[in-house]
Amino acid sequence: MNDERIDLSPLDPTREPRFDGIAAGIARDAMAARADRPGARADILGVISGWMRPALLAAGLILAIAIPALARLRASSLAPAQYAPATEVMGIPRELTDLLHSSRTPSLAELHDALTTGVER
Amino acid sequence: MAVIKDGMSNAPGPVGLEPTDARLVADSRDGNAAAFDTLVRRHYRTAFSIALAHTGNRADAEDVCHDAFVRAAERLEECRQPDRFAHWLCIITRNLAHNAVAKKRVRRASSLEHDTASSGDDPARDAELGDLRDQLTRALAQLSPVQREVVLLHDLDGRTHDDIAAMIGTSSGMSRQHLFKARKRLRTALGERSFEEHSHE
Repeated sequence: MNDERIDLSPLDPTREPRFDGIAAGIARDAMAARADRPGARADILGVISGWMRPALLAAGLILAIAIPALARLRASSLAPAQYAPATEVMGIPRELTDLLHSSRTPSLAELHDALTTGVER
Repeated sequence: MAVIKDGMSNAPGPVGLEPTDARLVADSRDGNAAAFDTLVRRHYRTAFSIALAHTGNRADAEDVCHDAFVRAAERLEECRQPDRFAHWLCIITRNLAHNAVAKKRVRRASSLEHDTASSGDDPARDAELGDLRDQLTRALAQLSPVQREVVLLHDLDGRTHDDIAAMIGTSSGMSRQHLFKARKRLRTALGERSFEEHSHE
């Protein structure tokens, strides 16, 4: 006789008309509590730290490539600039300007050479 | 007594139709509220059976169930076997029920309160249901907590002895013994007339 199930259905909470409301309220409160728990904030930090590693790696790679290039650029900018004299820019041969700057009077042959060199050039 | 419907089945349905507990737990961990809602509906009766077994009244059992599910949601990452979510929930519910009972003892409140039922549309039926609940609650109060857990999990929640044994931490044979003794004491407490009235519907 004791093998027969006792009907406890009057105690069944899921048969109550308000059960839907109870279940929905529990689920709502549960998810709100889950969102508020300290672990949830840690999860956000975890996501950020997850992105931090590849971002740092990429930054390191960029630096590794950029440093030699920057060093080369700096070295070239420190070297003295070599400007062409204005007379040369204007097309006057250097040999002629050298003769003009010298203290002695140039001979005709020297003038001829200076001028012809400039023309050949 | 008119039984509304058969609501005994609380296990996941056939594979492919209803998500498993493991799937629902995983989705809930990702913040899916609908997944947790399904877990609540699927396992509420189990939690309620355990809570009622310890608190002795529906209102406290409902409070304990609410707190148990909220606690479970907060600690879902600690559920190491998501496919055994119900068993894990039982442990949480039992602990919270013990705490609730301890607090009640301090307040010297009665554990047997008259329970009012409400279906909302039939006062006569509500009164009858309230009387039946009252009788059952008084009868259950005469059992030991473990006998109450076993008979509620078996006869209300529809659990098997293997399942109950795992939930209460005993053997299947002991679960059967507890059920046998619980039913015997319940029948004595309810009397033949009451038992006949609502045992075969």
